[in-house]
Amino acid sequence: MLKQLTLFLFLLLNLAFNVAAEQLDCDSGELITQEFENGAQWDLCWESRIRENLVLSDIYYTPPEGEASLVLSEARLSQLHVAYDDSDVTYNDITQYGLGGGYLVDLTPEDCPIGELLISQTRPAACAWLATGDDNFRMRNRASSAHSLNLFSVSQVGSYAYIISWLFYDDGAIEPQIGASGALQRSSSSLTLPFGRVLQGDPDTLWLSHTHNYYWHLDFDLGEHATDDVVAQSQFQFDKDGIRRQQSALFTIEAALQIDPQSATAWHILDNPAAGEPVNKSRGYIIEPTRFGHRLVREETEPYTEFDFFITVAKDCERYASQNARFNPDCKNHVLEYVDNESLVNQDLVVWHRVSFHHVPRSEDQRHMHSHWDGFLIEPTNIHTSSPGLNGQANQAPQLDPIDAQNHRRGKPVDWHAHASDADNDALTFTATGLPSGIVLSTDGTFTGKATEDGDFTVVVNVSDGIDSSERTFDWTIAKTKKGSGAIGYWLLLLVSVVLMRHSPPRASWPTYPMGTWFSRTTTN
Amino acid sequence: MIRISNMLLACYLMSSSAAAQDCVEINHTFASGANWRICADVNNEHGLSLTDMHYFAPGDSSRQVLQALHLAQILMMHHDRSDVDLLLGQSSQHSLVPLNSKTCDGTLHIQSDTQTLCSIIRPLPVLAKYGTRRALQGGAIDVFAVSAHESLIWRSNVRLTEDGRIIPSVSMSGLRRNSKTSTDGSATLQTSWRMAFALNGDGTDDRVEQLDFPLNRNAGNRRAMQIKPITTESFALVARDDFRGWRVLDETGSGYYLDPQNSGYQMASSTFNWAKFDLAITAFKNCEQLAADNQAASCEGTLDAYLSGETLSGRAPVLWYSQSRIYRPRTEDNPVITSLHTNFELLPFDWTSSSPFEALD
Repeated sequence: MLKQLTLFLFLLLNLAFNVAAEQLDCDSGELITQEFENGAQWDLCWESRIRENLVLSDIYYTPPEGEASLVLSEARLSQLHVAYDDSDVTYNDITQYGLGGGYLVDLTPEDCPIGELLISQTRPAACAWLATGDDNFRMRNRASSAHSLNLFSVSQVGSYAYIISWLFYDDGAIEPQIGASGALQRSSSSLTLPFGRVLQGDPDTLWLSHTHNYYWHLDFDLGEHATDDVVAQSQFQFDKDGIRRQQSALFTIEAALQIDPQSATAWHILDNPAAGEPVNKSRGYIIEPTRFGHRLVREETEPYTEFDFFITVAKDCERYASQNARFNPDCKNHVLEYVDNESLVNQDLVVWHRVSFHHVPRSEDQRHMHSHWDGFLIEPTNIHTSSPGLNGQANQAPQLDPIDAQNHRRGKPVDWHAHASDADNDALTFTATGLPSGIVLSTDGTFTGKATEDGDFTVVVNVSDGIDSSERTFDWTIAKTKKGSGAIGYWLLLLVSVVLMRHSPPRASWPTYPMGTWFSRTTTN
Repeated sequence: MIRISNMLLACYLMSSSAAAQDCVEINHTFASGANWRICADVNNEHGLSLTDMHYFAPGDSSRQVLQALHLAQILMMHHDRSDVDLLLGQSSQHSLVPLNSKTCDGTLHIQSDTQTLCSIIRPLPVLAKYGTRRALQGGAIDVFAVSAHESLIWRSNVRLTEDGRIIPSVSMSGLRRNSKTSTDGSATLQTSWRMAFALNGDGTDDRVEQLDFPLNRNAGNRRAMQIKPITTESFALVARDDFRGWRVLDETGSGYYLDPQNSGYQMASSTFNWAKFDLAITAFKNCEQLAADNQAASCEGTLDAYLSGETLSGRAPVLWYSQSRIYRPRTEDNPVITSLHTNFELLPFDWTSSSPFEALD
């Protein structure tokens, strides 16, 4: 899901955009660096280009308490393809018009009320702000929201205003998005055409339905070397036993791929995985196409629309997903042509991802329509050694109550509890080592069973809230007969009981006590 | 401004047999004058349950959209097992989680002497932008409850935006489950929501349409809009290449649109037939609350049984929408799982004759 965002006001005070970072030298752009409360940090360069508008480069992520590492050497939109349902007009906005230059909208402080306007070549081209969104993690008694650095710029192409947006989260995730706003573009006076709708208050106009196809270009360069990345596809298939198993494939030659919703297709960009290392254990990033309700396919006129994801070798002249030859006449024309069986081994790789949105006009789109957001999430996998969102969230370890030494008879039933408390009210799990054979400890802290051998055992009990734990050690003696004062007490009490019986008035009944339980228990639970 | 009324409200459902519920009224007015008024309840059956949901757009009147909205089931299929866990219903081990200031960074509501309901006001930046006109900033109100199932924590949330959108969502977090077998602990989960419509009234004049835009390769790659009225109880699937969506509208043509844009994966359940579909449309019956393991004695069974071919004519329609995701364990989930989100959007569709914020802009 796309993470919905809201303001993150307390971090606003810590805005540090345009502060120079020692390791980055943005040749053609400006630097943004942002550190989060959990210790994570993003560093990147940005610029507004005449064709793509926002182009990001040298995108580094520093995990909490970790080292900065390159994620993407370049990230940008590579085409904004708009196809109308009447098929009379198709736009390729980036190559036909451009999203920067004269199509870039100068932002005002009112457009960026809780962020900071960023300047590109004297123009207020972007807004950066800090946000807090949906849950990053949640437990019974604690929760943490996702925090992000948001960067957006606006391009006005015809009647449409496109809000190109990048979100960088404090857990290492990245979310490119486009908000389609502005106003409806094309209409017809032929009201009976089945390609659009007549809206309220405007009975003489048919507004045409259309599809926005966003093609994103992501040049991953994970880690130290740009040429050791690997792209894999994973899917889940049912076996005959009803169990769903993951299958994965590493790509060694360029590929054009389709999403298969039934098998839960996902793509993994991996940082130099070891030979034979499972995809789900490798370090890298994953793209799951979870916003995939629409897909425009017109394979006859635009063959590249048949695919959702492309893996190619990085080439400077392969810039646009379509109409590339307009600006790079010595290079191929569209992204499907870039997929020409070149080897991906030891090459700098680029992935291209398409997201579609079909827009059916509604009366609320008049005169100016509200933003419709479309994007996808690029999430880290095995980049961190533990939950990054937990940083800064104090956990209180559970406390295990003292446990006295235990003394039980072999073969007799055991049933008692260890007790613990947790200030955070987390669910607790008990485990133990060194138990006498025949005795088990359930996860709720109950010892049960019948000991099967004599001996003196040193038992270590552990209780965990899933994050922290505490331990207690106690001695447990198992004997065929009861050892120590307990046994003596038993015989003494039996003797007293016999005496009392002889000197007591007759009773209708006499309470009975199971031997070995009432008198013999010498410890407390 | 937010007004909370914690009292026994007349949250009557459509059915004449429906009983009043003890719920919390949440009544929030945004800076533009737009308003949401709902009745929120947290119960063991569904977790969060909203009723009598009214939206007021600036320049319009306050009108009802949904008579009821709640989770209908969560299916979880661990990939190391062939069976499916039901997270709601009688056989489930789920429990409501009381909230506190650490788990609700908004307003805590007391219901039946417990704090299990939270609401948060959120800004929605750049609600709209056109040329050099200043960007329109909006807002939303989130209402949520939290449940626990074994070590997993589930947040069910409904976001109500200033411009009339309804965004139900589910997030899964909590402690990572240790896989009992050698597989990697991954799982498929499917969340299903029940939406009982009652547009501008009691819902008996509401109707459902399926909109498709199939490519006609023989007619110059044109896409003619096809509107199919759904007149009897039915299942439906997302059709990505046809841009399929579903519209609920009343006799005036005013309505809401369910756009399955956020549909990613599809459940492949061998346990439940209904779980193979993205959508089910039924005629309103108050006792049909859960898609599986329903607790009402008169409506036992599953969503498969509810679809009995009844006509939708003269009946308030109920949409049951399901989405699937895959949980893929990673080191980032140790010890706490990074929240896995699923959401979708109900969009006002000719609810107002133009953008309700035009005059304010």
